[in-house]
Amino acid sequence: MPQYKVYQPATYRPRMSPYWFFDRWPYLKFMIRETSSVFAAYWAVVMLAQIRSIRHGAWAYARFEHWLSNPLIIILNAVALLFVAFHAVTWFMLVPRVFVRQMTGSGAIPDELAAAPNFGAWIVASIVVGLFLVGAI
Amino acid sequence: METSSTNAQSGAIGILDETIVLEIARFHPEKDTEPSYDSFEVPLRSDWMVLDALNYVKDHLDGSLAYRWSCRMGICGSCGMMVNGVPRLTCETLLTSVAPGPVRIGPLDHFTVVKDLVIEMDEFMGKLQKVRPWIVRKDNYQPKREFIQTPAQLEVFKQYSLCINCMLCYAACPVFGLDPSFTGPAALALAERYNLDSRDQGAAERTDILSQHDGIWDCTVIGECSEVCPKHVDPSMAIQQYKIDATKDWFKTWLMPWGNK
Amino acid sequence: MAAHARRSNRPLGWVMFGTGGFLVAFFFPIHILLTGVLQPLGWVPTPDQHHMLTLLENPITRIYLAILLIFAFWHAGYRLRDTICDALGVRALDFPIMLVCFIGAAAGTVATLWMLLTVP
Repeated sequence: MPQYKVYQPATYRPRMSPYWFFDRWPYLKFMIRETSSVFAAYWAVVMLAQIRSIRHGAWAYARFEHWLSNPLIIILNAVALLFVAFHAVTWFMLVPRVFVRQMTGSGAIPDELAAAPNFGAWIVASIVVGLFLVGAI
Repeated sequence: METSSTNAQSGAIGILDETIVLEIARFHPEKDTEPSYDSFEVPLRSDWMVLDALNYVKDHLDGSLAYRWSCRMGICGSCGMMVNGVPRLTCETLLTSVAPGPVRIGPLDHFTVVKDLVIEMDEFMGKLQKVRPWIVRKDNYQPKREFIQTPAQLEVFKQYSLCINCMLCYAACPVFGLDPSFTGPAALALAERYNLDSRDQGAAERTDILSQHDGIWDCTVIGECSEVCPKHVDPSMAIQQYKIDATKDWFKTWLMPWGNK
Repeated sequence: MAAHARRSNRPLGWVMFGTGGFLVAFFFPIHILLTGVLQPLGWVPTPDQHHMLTLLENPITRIYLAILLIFAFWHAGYRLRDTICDALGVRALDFPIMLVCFIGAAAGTVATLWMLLTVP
């Protein structure tokens, strides 16, 4: 706040719009990234329900699968997938940079190179988990 | 690209025979309660920066326009303004890059406006002081000659030392807009600059201050501070580094309470 | 040291958030893609309950799920707290918002542990 007030009759303090994240694309991108947390929480709950239905036998599992096959739920899941994938990409672009910098003391490694191993590991992890989920292993 | 000889023949370097409209935020502290926009038509010249256009307005159209500027070469950090909603140094923003206009020019976002495009800087100065941006020695060491520092030791913090205090990062930071008590990008980058300095011993002292509420943990990694920085200081990266160090400290304190003093 | 005592306890939550961020990024997309979209559409095969139960009875599967889900809950809770504060501009209400988010994450943790420890 101003300390000098002698010849300063009034000042104007701007207030942020409640919709500030629509003002510029980078802010909207930030908010999309943060909103992924809602979908991460949603999916963690769905996985708990999945585990529960598996434990409760064939009938409960069939009911869970029936719930999943609701078109609205499929659309919701597709949206969740987009948000969580966006989180993954932003995470893999940013976090390795931070760690590389922490370990080397400077940004010696280009950003793309720092991020590359994560995208490789992402593909491998997806294939392994995917094989289990479709019952191939 | 035109050669200098053709320019000399035409005798009119940079003149494009066009104009551009500037919509400039005006706030008169004795008359207004909130800012409004005035439009000015100025010549569009290929060799003009937005600052040159503002100078044209002040010299030829309205002498009462208030704004800050000094060096015209991107080092004094005075001429930061919102150009079409993005914080920019107006001395480094080509007028043709925002053509055809109209171009909206406002004071830096989130700061208290004194008049027109001039913002109050005390708030930022207070934040700067808070991070103790000087070399802190725990010992009372009085060097007889200069501290020796290798080029490698310099390289570690050099990037963070290039800040010119232009405050563009604060104008780009919604967290500062939402919570004015946030220490903010430039001050935190400067804190990290001294933490990483091989001559400095004040890291623990700074962490005591900056890992409290309003320090590093208010940052939610929006990253626009680094995007708008004219000196590529990357305050966002500095803050994340700081978070890692503060986290290590925190776990050390909790797991080995006897280890810390 | 007084200043020392006022240091934020954020680092604990931040470590949970960071670990969860990695796990969610690596594993959630494939889970959602298959379980949530492709299998309900019938585009890829869906194993039956017996197969899934055999999988679930394997301790390695349960350790994987426990780590994945618990960190995912804390990741989401930590981020959601800041998101609500930023999106609604209510940083003044940080404390109650934090409580709600963290209680949610704690509930998710308890539910996950109970669910996985009591598998027949």
